[in-house]
Amino acid sequence: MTKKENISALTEEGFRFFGTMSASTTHEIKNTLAIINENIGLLDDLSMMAQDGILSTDQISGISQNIKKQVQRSNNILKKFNTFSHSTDISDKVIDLEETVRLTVDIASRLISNYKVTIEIIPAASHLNVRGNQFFLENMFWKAIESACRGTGEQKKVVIEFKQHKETREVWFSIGDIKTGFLDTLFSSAEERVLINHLDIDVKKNSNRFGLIWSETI
Amino acid sequence: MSEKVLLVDDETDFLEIMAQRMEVRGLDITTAKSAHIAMSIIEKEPFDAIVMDFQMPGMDGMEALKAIKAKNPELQIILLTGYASVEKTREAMKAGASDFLEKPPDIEELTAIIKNAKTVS
Repeated sequence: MTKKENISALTEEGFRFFGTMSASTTHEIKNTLAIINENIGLLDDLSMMAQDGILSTDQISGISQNIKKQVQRSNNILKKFNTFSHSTDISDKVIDLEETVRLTVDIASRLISNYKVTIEIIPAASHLNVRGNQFFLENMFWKAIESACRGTGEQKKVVIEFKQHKETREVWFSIGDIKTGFLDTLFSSAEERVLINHLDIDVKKNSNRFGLIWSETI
Repeated sequence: MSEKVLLVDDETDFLEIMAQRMEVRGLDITTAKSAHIAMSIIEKEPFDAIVMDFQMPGMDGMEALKAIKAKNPELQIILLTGYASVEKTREAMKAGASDFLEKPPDIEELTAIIKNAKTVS
């Protein structure tokens, strides 16, 4: 690929990733609004019943609690999406690997739940920082998480852990009940190769897991 | 006799409130949190209609629609979706959905569709 083709492929992949996360987030928000809407509808129903002398204060209090819960849920979703959107602000900066993995898992939570996979993140012993483009790193983490979700069999479990060596920073994805031959074709698509090259990372594959490795430490 | 309706959605809060509101409108509601649970309920008892979310974890609404229609071709299935594209709507109707409503649905419209579906069938 020429440099121009590389940039074009990277941009296209970035747009696709941003679109996927935006669609998932708006879907989640739409769900919270649907619940709020039904609670308001229930309030209307109760006010009609109140005209016939039937009014339950417990029910009204329950509705109020439900609406509060959904507003809080929407707020959390939007807060995370806002942080994600701002990851495009600076193209080169110091990035905390664990924080970025957690943000990616959070914004992709609905997509992950579609796979019915449980993701366990083992906290890093200390902050693991690398330098690069946070947006494309999130894009890479999503590719890794989605691949791992596809690769797990009956167990439907993926464990993400962080390792630090003198010369490297590493994020490992262990796949429960890994499907035969899964690692052989991992990250073989053109867009995945472009991301890996752009982020300047190595990929290691080992029995039921794969790791994203940064050699340049800061 | 009130219409027996199976309401399917992975959002528990939505499911509970919708069930309450539909019951107030004279419908007999059973709820299921997933398409898989819904399918096992259908095997045990008859329903006049199913109201089901289009996008759910695991088996989604379209998959479930096709599976249910294969076994119960007469059953009325109404799909709910956050964002309905023309393409998806067409695909769902082609697969046998009685209707395809955007979420949140108008409860009066939904109730009317269910009652009308029973009359037609």
